[in-house]
Amino acid sequence: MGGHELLEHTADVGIRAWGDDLEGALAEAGRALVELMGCAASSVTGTRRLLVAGDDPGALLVGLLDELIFVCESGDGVRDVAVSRTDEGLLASAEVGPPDPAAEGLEVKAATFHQLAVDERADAVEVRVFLDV
Amino acid sequence: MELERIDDVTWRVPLGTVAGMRVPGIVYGTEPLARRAVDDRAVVQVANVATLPGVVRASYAMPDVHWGYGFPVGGVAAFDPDDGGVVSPGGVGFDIACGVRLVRTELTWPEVAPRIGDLVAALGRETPRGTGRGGRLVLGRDDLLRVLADGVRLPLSRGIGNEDDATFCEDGGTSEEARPEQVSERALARGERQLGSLGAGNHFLEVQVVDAVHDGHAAGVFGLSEGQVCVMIHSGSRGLGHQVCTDHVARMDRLAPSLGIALPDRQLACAPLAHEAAERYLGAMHAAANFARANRHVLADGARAALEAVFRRSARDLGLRLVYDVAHNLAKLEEHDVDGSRRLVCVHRKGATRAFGPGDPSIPAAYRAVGQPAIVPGSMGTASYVLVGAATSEARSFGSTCHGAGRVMSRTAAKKRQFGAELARELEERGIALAPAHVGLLAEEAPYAYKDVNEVVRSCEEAGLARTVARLRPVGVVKG
Repeated sequence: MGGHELLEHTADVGIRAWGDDLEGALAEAGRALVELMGCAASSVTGTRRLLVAGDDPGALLVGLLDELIFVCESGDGVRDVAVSRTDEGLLASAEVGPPDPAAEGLEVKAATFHQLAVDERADAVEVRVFLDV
Repeated sequence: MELERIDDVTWRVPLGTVAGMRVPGIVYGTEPLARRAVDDRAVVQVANVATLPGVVRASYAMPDVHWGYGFPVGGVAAFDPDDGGVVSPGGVGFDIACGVRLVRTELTWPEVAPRIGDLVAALGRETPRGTGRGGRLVLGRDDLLRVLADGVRLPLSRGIGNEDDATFCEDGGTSEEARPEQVSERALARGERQLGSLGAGNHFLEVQVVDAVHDGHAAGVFGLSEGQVCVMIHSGSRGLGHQVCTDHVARMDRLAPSLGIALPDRQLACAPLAHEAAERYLGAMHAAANFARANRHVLADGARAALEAVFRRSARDLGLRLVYDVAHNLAKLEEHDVDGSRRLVCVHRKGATRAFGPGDPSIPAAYRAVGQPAIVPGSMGTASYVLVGAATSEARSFGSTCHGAGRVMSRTAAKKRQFGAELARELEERGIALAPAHVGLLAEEAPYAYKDVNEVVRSCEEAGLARTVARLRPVGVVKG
């Protein structure tokens, strides 16, 4: 089972997300980011494929969140995110549509490598990442 | 963790506080401010910066320092290229050349007070803000590249602003070290729609009144006097700058294993100044700095339009003139005294303002005899300050001072304490007109989430970083 929560930071915000496997935990972190940014889609009109290259799970997490920040900043809303591994890194697909005008959120500048953590166990994966807001 | 007291406002973070420190840390501020920096874990970050290759003298923390990511916010550190010194994009931050611009008018508060509501509403209309909003100028690709190369010269060439806007901007409004070709396609895509937009978070445009003059001579030189109405703009390089930092942190993170630099935090990713990756980052960073200055320049033109419309007088008649525009997130190659000799070092200021003392040739000629102005925004609804670099600032902090009040409380905690609407009512009861983009988010920037800016500024003065010129109080706030 996956889930996520926000972590406190003096100026910024962190995300702790978990899932059955790395893909599940990363998708949860993506959902947390979309909530935080208030860029949920009011309806789904398409899918955006997001390619993330990276050498390790932490870099993939930061890369995925940076891709989603770009999607939101370019004016799309996001309904959900699915993630799969590829040889080069990740392929994520984001269900997108017009953003929900009632949603309020933070302007997130970027995902950072600060205190970045990925804890991969046999039956569950937990990740932690801080965002610059 | 223990700090060693040097004097009332200077504290040493001794070698060995974290493994691998090459120089000590120095924290400036009164004892309560220094104590907060320890509790906040910012001091660990000050110590972490002191482990990076080629760091010289000390890793400094300004009195407003707080926990950041990698480098602390309010940190200053310099690195010697001849000693393996590095540049770290995280030591500048994502909002490259985020900074503050102060525009003076010849209007006095009694003239503005009856129209403050109209003025703030007009400023709100002229200031694109909040998340995901386009800016006042939508640029084609060629013009965007010109902004990256030439900074405020592009808006000036379109008749926006006047020559004073270049003269009284840091670096004359144009950093010549900019290399637009080092800015990625994605960063360009993020910048195309955003020139002349405020952004969100702690960014703001305020109408302020000079309510105390501490140094009459310097205030006179800067064109400031008691009772005068000014406009202060706090914004940065928007998505373009954020993406430049993202791109180059990721590149240096990938390079880290081959560079053999041990990092206590991955966000400190860096490259030796002699490395091609450093050169590419600095070129892109200066291009983003040019964008940030042009952004504040174009926002100020919106403020001009609002003032002209409300008072039905021309900008010239209103006496609009740029006092100064200065960044507080930037890295620069500068000459400083290091171990008894002058050396060219790369000074990182992240949440710190360059404030050179009198006489430096980089200061606009009209201000040179008094020193470089530093504009210090307070938290929402509290005082802001104009400081000027002290003669001792170079020896104390590579010529740097604070950049604001400095946060003490997380955004979530700030929102739990008060609803945005309640805070809005409180500010309005105190006579501050408001135009927030999102009332719900207002409480995140509440004054209680920040340190006391008065204490921060007093600490800077006592530590010999800067002198206080004037205090300004807000009378109208336009928030992102």
